[in-house]
Amino acid sequence: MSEEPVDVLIIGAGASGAAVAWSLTDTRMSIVCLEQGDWMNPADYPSTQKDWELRRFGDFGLSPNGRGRREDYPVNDAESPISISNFNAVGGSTILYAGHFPRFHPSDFKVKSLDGVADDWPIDYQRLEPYYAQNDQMMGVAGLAGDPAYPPKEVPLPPVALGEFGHRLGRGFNELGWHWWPSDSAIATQAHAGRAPCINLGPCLLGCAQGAKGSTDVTYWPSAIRRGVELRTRCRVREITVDENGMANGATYYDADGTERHQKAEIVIVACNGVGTPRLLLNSKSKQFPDGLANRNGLVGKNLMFHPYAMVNGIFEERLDAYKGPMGCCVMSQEFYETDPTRGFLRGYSFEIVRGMGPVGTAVMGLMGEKLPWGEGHHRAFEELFDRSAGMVAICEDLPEAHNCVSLDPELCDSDQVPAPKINYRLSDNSRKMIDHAVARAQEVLAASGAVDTQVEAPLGVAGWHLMGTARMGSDPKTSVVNEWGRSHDVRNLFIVDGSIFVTAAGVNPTCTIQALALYISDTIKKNLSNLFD
Amino acid sequence: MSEDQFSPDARETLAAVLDGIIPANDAASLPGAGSLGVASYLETIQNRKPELVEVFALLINALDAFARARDCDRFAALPLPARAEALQEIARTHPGPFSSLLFHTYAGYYQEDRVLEAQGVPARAPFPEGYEMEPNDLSLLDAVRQRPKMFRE
Ligand SMILES: Cc1cc2nc3c(=O)[nH]c(=O)nc-3n(C[C@H](O)[C@H](O)[C@H](O)COP(=O)(O)OP(=O)(O)OC[C@H]3O[C@@H](n4cnc5c(N)ncnc54)[C@H](O)[C@@H]3O)c2cc1C
Repeated sequence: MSEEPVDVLIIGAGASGAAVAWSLTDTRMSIVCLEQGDWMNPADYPSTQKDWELRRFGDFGLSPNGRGRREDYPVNDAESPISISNFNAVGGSTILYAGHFPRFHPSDFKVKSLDGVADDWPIDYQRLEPYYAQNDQMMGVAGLAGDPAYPPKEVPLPPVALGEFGHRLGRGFNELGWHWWPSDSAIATQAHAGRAPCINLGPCLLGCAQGAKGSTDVTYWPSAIRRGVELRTRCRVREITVDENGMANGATYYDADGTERHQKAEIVIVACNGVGTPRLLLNSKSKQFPDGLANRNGLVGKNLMFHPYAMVNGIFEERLDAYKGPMGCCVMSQEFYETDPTRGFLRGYSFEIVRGMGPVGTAVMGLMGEKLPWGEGHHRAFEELFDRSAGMVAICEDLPEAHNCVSLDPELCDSDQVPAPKINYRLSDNSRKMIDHAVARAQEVLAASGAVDTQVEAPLGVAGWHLMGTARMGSDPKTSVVNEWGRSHDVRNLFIVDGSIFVTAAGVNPTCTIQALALYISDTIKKNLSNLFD
Repeated sequence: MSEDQFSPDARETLAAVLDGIIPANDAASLPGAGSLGVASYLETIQNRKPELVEVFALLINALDAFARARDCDRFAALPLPARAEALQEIARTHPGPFSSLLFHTYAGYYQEDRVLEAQGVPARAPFPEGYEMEPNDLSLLDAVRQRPKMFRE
């Protein structure tokens, strides 16, 4: 069944799809967004129940493979030490994200020129700066101006509560003379654009019942819909279709009843994330594109980057009050961010302080980590663990390598029988060395902050939540999938706006850069409407 | 009585098992998990996850069988050292089901109001009250503010 043609079809209603949809409403174009997930109901979020920490093992799990939600698609990540974490709903993975919102640094766009590795981006920090600022307003970013690790920037809202643990770590960093700063966080610390302020619930990574966290279902989408975008939920796109000239002409999808439909469009924008986007392109095979759409050079799905994480937890003798406050947003350190070749690796990493768990989380994670025995000794062990354990993660910059990739699994399919993605990923030597360095430094700062012991998980197995590089941007059609404004080299009315287009990964969380890029690409589309397909 | 509720005998065994898994905490004046009523939580959980009915039944039967092999009619009637021995044995012979029981016992126990209060944690869901936190002391950043710019152009 075919529907009225629209000017713009956006696929995916997550971080990037929401931003591009909102921005394009400045035009008079008709815009439809197809999203396989549904609206979330914050009243059902785990933090409204006493068993909130257990939902991580069920319908709010990180992996789509174990969540049991109809809107998820399976991912074969058996051949990767890091498994995929995502969410499929209006808001996409921002429903679960921690809201950590650091920008890239100027050097992150020039890694080849500065450090001789990977490639430079075809755009730079200055080009994105106005879009970062616009996005910070829309998402409601909290933080503190004056950070010497960044070019000067304004921050719309005051920083999140550091709490006993954040202050303690701050003193620890000071003792070592290392950089630290309150995290830039997409968390409304004051009422902002109709959103209620953060009340330190803790479980941001299970959805924010208060609506203070900037997931795009509460930031961009309400405004985009008011401004005329039609968002169709529970609509899973199987493939993007092309006409005889190889131009995209719409998408075939399954609606909420499983009925196959076709939406015609003049422009197609893909926003399905660093795994969902290559999956969709590879599934979009045609006479003109037998190996998948926009894939004439075979690069779709290649160069997958995560951020390898090292998690180091400190055990303290005193209570930390660390179950209060935004779980993932507190303090960041970029002491080891810029390249220093004497460290034995190139590029660098950020530290982010993560808070501790509540009683149930401490108990079940203690059980699974074999740190909390049953029977005699249980209570003593619990006393030592609960609210005395919290720590930090290092977010290490990954470099693009063609063998790290997303392909189609030959057997695995989603509930609509659409082939599922398969991940092949190996940790590079550079990443391993960076992780080792980060673990040792984390142990130093935790000791300086009073930790009597530390526990390490590196690389952190569940940390496949930053998905980048699988349809990279560049000016050379031989070595990239999209040009410097997100347009496919092969298909001139096809745009990609999510983390797939990253050239390199930097050592910070990607979402504010993903969204700044989406706004920049939208602006470029708006400025070039008359000759968009030339 | 429905299939997913424990019979009085099963409940008695289970209460003793749970007391063995999380014993009384004298320092906090708290009874063990069984005496605190965590069996009711397990009942709720097996209502939600019917596959657990069999798991819990298997363990209860195995522990009662252990007791009978020692001339005692049920697990709860065994002296404490023998109960501990039985639990060790079952943990070894039925590791999967036993881990599952441990998981749900821990989860249930640490949601009990009395346990949370003993830990100094409000006995409620985080939302809607949330938590008060101390104000930020940003003077701690004075030294960092003095640093020259750290980023490369
Ligand atoms: C637990 C967790 C914590 C995180 N913490 C942070 C953090 O602190 N800071 C940070 O910067 N980032 C964080 N991230 C990552 C962040 O969520 C992502 O970078 C961001 O959401 C990516 O935006 P996106 O638009 O590319 O994709 P997503 O937000 O993932 O949205 C993609 C959307 O496309 C839809 N879709 C996919 N395929 C199809 C199809 N075929 N048809 C229809 N719809 C489709 C999906 O359902 C989904 O809603 C975290 C992620 C997770 C899971």
